[in-house]
Amino acid sequence: MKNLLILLMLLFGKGLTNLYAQDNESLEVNINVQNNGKWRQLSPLITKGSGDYLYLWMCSAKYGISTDRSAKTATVPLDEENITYEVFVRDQKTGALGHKAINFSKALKATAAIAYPNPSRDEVVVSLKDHKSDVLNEIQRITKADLYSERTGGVVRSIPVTTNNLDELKINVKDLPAGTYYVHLWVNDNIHSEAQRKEIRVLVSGH
Amino acid sequence: MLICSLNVMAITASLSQQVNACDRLLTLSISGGSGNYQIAWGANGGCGTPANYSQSTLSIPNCGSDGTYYAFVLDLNTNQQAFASIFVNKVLTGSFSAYLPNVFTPNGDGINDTFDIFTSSQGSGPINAHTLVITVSNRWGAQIFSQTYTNYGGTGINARFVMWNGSGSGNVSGTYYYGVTLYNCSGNQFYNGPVTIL
Repeated sequence: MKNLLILLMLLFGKGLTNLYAQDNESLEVNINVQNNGKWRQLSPLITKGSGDYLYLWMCSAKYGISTDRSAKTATVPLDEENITYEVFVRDQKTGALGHKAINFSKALKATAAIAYPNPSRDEVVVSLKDHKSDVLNEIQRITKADLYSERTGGVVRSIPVTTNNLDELKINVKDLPAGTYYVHLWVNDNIHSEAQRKEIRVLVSGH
Repeated sequence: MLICSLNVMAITASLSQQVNACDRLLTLSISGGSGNYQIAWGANGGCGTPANYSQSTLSIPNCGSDGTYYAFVLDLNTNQQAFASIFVNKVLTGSFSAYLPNVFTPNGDGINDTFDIFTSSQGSGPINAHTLVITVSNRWGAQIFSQTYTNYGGTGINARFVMWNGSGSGNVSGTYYYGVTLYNCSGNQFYNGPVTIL
């Protein structure tokens, strides 16, 4: 009897939830960011919709968007700080609405990469993500990574990076003897014309 | 919990416009929701909307292009959204296209019964005026008729518009003198001359 009640409640509750969802049909919108020289290009990514959309870009600064605000892609300066861009989207066939905001708290400058856990036992993760704000520093891409041993001075791992969209990579250190290692990371950004080398000290604790 | 979520009214938005001679004033009305809204305006055609503008009214001054204006509403408390759009006619700018005949016959036969305005090519279409002021005097200079016509929306006052049906003349045949002033958002022009009632 108690189970039946719970079942009824679940069914009834599900019915109500569905009704609510239908009354508030919405589009799921994300914002894709691409850097192009001194500009950011922001485009909405819409997962489920008819494909026929009306866009409207807004910005927290008065002259933040130099391109047509109703174009799909908004082109904005890369060096704007503390700025929020947002896009409103309407599916012109279904009338469904969507909205997404993206904030850039600071201008994208070359920032330090981090490695964790440190010390590592099995795997060390090298990341360009700014863990303080948890925002991907999307200007930077890892192009090459080498792991040097302090003891031998030589390369013990070389990780070729094939995609230039990588902001994080993992290095297997399971079979390495305990000791101090250095990750040499080549990072492309939009400020320097050539990849910048970053060095991170990593301790391997061994098994 | 579910009952609570049902109590959140879906928000709806609608746009209305006040059509003035040389500007349009749009008003966004929002119902339902929390009252804590973010509003974003856009336009397809027309004269665009100011960036970073989020008031519930939008003034469109002296815009010489038709356009569809729209507004998105985001309820900042519930994340619900609403949308509304409205077609807004351009205001009339530029030169006038006007021809004024010099005779009409108010005899009710359906042909030239009234004193109408035409385009300069004597055809149909807009004469590009939002206001037309006419005065008519008799041959002794006494004003017998005066009227102001306005049409602020659409294409304004169009050709074959009836300016005078002979009222004030007693339908007495003879020569009368008209003065017609056309107004649009670029300026005005005065036309005058004789018009004969046959």
